[in-house]
Amino acid sequence: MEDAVSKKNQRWAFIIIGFFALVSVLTYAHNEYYIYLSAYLWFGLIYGMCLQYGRFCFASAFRDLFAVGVPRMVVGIMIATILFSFVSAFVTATGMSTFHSAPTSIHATVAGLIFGIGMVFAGGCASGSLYKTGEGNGVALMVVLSISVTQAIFVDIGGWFNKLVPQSWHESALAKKLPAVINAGDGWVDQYLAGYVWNQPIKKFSEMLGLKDASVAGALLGDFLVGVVLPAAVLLLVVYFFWVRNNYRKKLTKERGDHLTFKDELAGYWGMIMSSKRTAVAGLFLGIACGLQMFVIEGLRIKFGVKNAGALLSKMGHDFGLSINGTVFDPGYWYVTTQEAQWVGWVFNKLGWNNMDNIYFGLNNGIPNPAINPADWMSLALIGGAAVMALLSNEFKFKKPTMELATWAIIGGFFMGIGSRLGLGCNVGAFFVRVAMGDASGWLFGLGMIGGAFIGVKFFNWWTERKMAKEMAAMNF
Amino acid sequence: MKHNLWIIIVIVAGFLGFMMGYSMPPFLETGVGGGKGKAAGAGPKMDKEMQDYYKDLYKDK
Repeated sequence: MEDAVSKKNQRWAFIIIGFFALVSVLTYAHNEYYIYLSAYLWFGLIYGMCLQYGRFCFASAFRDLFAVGVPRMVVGIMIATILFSFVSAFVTATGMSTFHSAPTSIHATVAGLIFGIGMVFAGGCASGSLYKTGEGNGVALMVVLSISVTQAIFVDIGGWFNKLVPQSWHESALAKKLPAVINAGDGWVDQYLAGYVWNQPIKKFSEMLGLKDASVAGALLGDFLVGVVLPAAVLLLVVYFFWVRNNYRKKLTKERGDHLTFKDELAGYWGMIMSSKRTAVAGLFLGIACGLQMFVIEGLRIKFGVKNAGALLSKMGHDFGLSINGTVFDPGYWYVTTQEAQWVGWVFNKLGWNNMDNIYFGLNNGIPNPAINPADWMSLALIGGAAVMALLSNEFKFKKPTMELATWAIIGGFFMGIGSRLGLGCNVGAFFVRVAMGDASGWLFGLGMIGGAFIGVKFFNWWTERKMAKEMAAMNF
Repeated sequence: MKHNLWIIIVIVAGFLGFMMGYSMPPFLETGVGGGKGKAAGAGPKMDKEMQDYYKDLYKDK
């Protein structure tokens, strides 16, 4: 029976790969420009395979750490970040990076805090929910839907919410003299972006050290060593002292009956690092894929003489949904949440909601048809890649959400949607990629996310205990 | 599992290889791959038609 299930799974894995191959070949035959979208598709597929293989979920990682004291996944994610950064440093040094740094200020920490709470409530971060959707998890799909809808609504809210905007933001937003169709003085997020976030400095570790980021010294010494390896080593040290050392010391003392030497401490630290090989390997391949994607996308841009996929869509006759700059969301590397907001934004627009008068959709990202949105191709393929890996390891299973889990998924997705837009990205775009690229704002988002995850876990513990006490009382225990 | 996974890895690598090959010539033509020192991050050169296209999009209609 097990073999039969396995064969069925194998067939489905090849059907998924075959489908993506067919889409790539047929669209390329139709128009050469579609290769740009296919590049996103195949890299998305690799991301999905890596995520599923490495169980790459920030929510699970912090929940394991704070709730049950298991640091394995957190350590794996930190090691993956270091490996990803190592690969990225080479891409940056060659000047091929398509990465754009984000403004650095306390807003990133606040956004991370909200996001962190949300991901624990939802039981999956933005990337984790995508790969779990590929495993057939209905709750994860609901989280993705909730993040998508929340973002699409949040970026366009105005009216009463304008009253919550500080006057200085309002004035600063108007002073940017954005095109009149954007109406920067109306809408909470518009005024937050143009009136506050855009005024904040951009800080890369290489530049803070007086080095040029697109140079070997800047990328490897500034962004990689100082910006990633040292902070990550300190964080790992904190994890070692608070969650690993005690058990390790007890074990050694029991075996040998004496105290820990410095050599023992180093062995314990190294053992902790080496305990998460699977996640670390996934991080290495994510880094390689992300670097290659930047290389391929930049090459295609040069080849086609464009700076953004919007020009290609326009040349192919797809004018609808382009921003007023003629652009669409086209990061050139791994990203998760913006394309989720875009497809819901597109649906809302088709239903009659004018949501192209805001900065997020109207000025920057557009709302192209999801069927021709490069970043949407990446996300769909990511789900497909995760499904392929899950099928091949017999881990694919349709799981219907219960009412309780669905509620938490919607609430968690809501918080993650808000956090994503405040932080200009999720655990991938605002933390993982930014940190790996030496962008200081990534660490600020990460600190907030860790704090949020801690609060989320504590709240969940309290909620569960309260619920159990009620159930016990009802059973007269 | 491993046998099938390797087949899939080969298929994915095939598509990626094609794309790498497809995007490589522009690098060589612009001198980046040949080490001729094109300014890092300068992006592609746009012809006048494309520049006008972007410029016109800023105008309010």
